[in-house]
Amino acid sequence: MLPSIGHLLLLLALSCAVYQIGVNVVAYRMPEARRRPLLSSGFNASLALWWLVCAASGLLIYLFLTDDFSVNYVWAHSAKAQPLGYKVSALWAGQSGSLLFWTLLLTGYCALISVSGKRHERGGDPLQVQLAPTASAVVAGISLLFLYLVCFVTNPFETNPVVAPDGTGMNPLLQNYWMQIHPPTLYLGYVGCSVPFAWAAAALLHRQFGKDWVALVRRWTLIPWLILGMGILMGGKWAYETLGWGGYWAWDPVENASLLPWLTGTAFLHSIMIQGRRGMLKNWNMVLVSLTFLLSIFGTFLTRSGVVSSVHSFAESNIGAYFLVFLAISLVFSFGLIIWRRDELSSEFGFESVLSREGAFMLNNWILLGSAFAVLWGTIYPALREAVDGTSVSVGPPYFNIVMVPLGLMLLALTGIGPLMAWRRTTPAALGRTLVVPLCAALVTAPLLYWLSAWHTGAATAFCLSVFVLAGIVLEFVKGTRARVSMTGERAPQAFANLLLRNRRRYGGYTVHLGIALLFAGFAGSSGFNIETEPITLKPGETMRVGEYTLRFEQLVRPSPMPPEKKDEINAEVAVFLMPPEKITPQTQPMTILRPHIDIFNTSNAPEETQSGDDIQSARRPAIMSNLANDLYLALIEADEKAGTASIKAYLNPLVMWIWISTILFIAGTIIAVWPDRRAALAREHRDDAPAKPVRSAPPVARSKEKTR
Amino acid sequence: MRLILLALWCFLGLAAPSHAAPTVSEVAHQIVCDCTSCGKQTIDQCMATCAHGKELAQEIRSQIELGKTQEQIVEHIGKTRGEQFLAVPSQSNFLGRMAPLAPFLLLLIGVIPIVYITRTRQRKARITGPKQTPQKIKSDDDRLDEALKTFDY
Repeated sequence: MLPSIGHLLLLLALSCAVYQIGVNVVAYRMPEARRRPLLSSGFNASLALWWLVCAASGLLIYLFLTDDFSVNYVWAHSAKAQPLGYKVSALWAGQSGSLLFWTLLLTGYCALISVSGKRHERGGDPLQVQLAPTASAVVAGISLLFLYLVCFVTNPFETNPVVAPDGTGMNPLLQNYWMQIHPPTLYLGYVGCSVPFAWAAAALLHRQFGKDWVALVRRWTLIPWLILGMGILMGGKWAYETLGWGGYWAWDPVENASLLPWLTGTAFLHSIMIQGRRGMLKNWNMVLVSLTFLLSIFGTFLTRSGVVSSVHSFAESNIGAYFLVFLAISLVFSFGLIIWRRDELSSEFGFESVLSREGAFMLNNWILLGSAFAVLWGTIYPALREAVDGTSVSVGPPYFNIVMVPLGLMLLALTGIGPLMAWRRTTPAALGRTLVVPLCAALVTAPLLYWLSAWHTGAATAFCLSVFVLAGIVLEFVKGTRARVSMTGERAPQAFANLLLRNRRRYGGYTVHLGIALLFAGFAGSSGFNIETEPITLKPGETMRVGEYTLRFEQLVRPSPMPPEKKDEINAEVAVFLMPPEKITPQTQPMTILRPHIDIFNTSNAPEETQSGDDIQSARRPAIMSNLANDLYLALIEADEKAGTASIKAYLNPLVMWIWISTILFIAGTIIAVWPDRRAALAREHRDDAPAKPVRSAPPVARSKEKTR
Repeated sequence: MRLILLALWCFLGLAAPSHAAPTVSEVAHQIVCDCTSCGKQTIDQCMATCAHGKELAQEIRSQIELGKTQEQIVEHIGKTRGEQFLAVPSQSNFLGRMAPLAPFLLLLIGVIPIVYITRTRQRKARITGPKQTPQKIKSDDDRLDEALKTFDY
């Protein structure tokens, strides 16, 4: 009964989405006077759509909580003993549930856009009022694909003919607290790539590409971009904390798919500034925003079609063809719109000099786009090669390091140079004067960094460039504060605070750049300066060395009581000392005790005596001791309980914590940049040409008549 | 300024990678696991857990003991086991060479039209004058820009 209701809710949601798109299309073609009731109906449909998908998702969660194993999806991803948190997160643990979750987020964005338009009807931004119904309808159009899939192709409410007494449970590797945080965050950002595209499509349909649109789309891009970035970093943290191979990024196709729209989104956020400031690159911005959306769909096609191999379990399915068709439709729709409006997308001002902020942003855009292409190329190359000459090849992290390191270094250099350039034009002499301090800072630290990295050129150069960027930004903050002090007579701390508050976009951006510099320093440190041992088998009391640390294996232990979801867990207790082994006496107190362990799970509910080796899955969980300088990372490779020995692999990964700290700067900077500016809203309200009431766009026919007049 | 750049150039010229004997992990990072469950991870990630990865790691260890370099071991595995085991496609034919080169070629090819269009627009702007004089925006950002000019050093 309940599964049928769930399916019915999804069918109703599909009808609602079709209705919403229909009324908005009709409203767009109608004269203004007759449009309002239709737009109102469309608004209600967008809310109904969201509530229906919410109800369906809620129902599926309820089925998980009540262990209703008559539903195939619940049986495949849950079990009676599964903790509550994992039962809820099982919603996105498999194919059909994750598509339903995607639909939930997409329709949520659709409702949010509608509500934002409605909210602005009372003296707010008239442009938002005008574009919101169309943008919302575009998002509803995208949700049609996902609703179709969950209704007719991979229904999460599909029932089993025979009801099993218990479910098979969630994949043990997913049973981690990150499962409750990382996928929703990543999905929220990834699905959010549709939102700026929807605003761009609405702008193209309504011929509104002015400064107000730039401010609007920038705000609606920054938030999903931030969330996607956070999601990517969280994925790295999850992999680092749980997989036990000492790294956080493996250039897996699923990871790459999430990076693609983030890279083009970053390019868009930079080039939209040129449009806002100089009225240039309108065509280019429309291409970038469309590309960001299309890459999110293409990435989904790649990872869900089985075209490429991935460690992520949902990678292979039969839904790839639907995404490919949808991608073709979206490509025609987005680029068709851009071509249709190409005459109105011409630049307001000319490009004055290559040596300018615009020039730096153009170069930054091109490198970001090149990076996105490099990631895409590396991801699809094995499939292309097999199709072209039948050769089976692989593309792994070394390929991406060869290609992405130079591109990353170029980007990092531009991060330092770009913000120091003036808009319109700058002279080489002036630029040289601005760059002297950051360059000197980088050069002073360079010998030490190259020596420390044992002449690992890529890592040391990244480090030097990070110093260059940091010095440049700190200098900008100092100069800005001094300028405010001299302009207003404020005290330095107050001047600094006001500098941030009154120039949020600029200094929010600088804060994000600080985060990027730290991120690159973290990448450079952990890849260029890391130490890794071979697995060493130790008896109790024996020691091994990694860097400055001495590790003494104490004993193998089991937790008591054993967590219910695990069949077994074997811990190796390792005492950590920051001294050579010969100085350690039995009385020496260790810095800490680390417990890398092996988790053993049952993946079958069959009685133990009938289980085979395939029914048991093990996962190595590392133990990490972190500080600002480095992470001591231990993985238990093998444990022999009879002999009481443990085979331990140790890594010393420098500066990994800087990567996670950079996330804080990244979030803080974006929040500063995106925080609404009351003064801008007031200025808009008092602008002479701003209408008192929201302006509805004239229908295309009427507008063309106005033009001819 | 030029001296600083010259110093930087000389310094980078001195930078050279070390030539120590490779470790198993270093070589394993260049080899991909071809088993069904590892999803094309490199061996350094799976050699602790996967039987196939362990076997390959053992082969790498024996090759290191023979005194071979990283490149020689990678080439040996590519020849004996197949190209699908290499994390970077072999550069032995045109398609293989295109794997790492294509992104850079695209960047270069793209820069040419960008520079051409920019130069043409600059030339046009110089001949005909700007399409419109940029409007004065008196935001805090612009005022700060003006003020910052006096602080450039």
